[in-house]
Amino acid sequence: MKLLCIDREKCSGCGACQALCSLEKRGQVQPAEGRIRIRRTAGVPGRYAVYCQHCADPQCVKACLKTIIRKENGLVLRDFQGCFACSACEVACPVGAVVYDSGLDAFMTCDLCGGDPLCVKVCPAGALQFLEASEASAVRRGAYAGKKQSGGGAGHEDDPLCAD
Amino acid sequence: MRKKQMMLYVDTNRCMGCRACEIACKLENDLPAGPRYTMVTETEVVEAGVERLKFLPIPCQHCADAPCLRACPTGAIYRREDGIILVNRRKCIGCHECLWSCPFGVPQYGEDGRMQKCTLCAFRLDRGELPACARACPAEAVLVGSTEEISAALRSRYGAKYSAGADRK
Repeated sequence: MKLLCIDREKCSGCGACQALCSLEKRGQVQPAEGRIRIRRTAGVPGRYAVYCQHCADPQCVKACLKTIIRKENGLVLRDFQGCFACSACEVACPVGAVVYDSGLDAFMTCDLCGGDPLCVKVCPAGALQFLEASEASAVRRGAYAGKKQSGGGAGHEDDPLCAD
Repeated sequence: MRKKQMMLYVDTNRCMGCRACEIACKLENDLPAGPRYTMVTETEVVEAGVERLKFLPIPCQHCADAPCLRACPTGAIYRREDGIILVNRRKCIGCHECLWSCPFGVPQYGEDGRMQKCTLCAFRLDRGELPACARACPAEAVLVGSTEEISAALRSRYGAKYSAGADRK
């Protein structure tokens, strides 16, 4: 199953993903209600993107009081119709990916745009990718090896595993 | 302080990219297609005007200050007394936080979506055997032991080379 992969070192925290996500899913640019959001923190790198990870053992499914969240074909999906915005799923989510959608009056998460995520296309830093977990791992390993083998000079782009 | 820190050392000048470690690891851990506890990476480098490939097998580094251990929201990742980082698959919920935080891209996800990774063959070490990758490596590029043992092995390698008058590098 493909994952939305974030390279936290590449992410510049520009927020293009959350703005476009809210435009796509919410109908208006409201970055705080994007289903992918940039969190800013102290320390380095100082920001990270949060979005639904479609966990193997989703805590939101267990927490939901109305059992409208389900795990289906590897995706965690939900029906907004039944949601009465109790925020149990938001509290239970370990990555903070559940977002309140004021248009629907329901808590929503990333649905990967049905297998073609918009945020990946708009990311100007190339930090977001849509890959299998094994591919994501190979890209990261290749990037590290590239950096190490060439004495720290080469970045991710110079790595053969990252090239198309 | 911990008694000892087990580690895995790779000599990139010895590694020739045969991937025997990958195969031995897959067999030892009975892994299907997909998860790779160790992966030999290839990097193109130019040395003295000549292009060549360099290889680096990347298994779990069992970091002393492991980012995955700090990132794990359920406490599924833990450290053994000898410094080996292990994962309790019953606690893992498959949220991928470890993968995004690992600088080496080590965490792997199988069919069930839960994290699994190199255990430094902890069960083999407990039996007094070498991990599968170190045992399979024909070039002895992969060394496994405590930090003191690795240091001693590297010193004796250098000593042997030096006394034989070989080209020092």
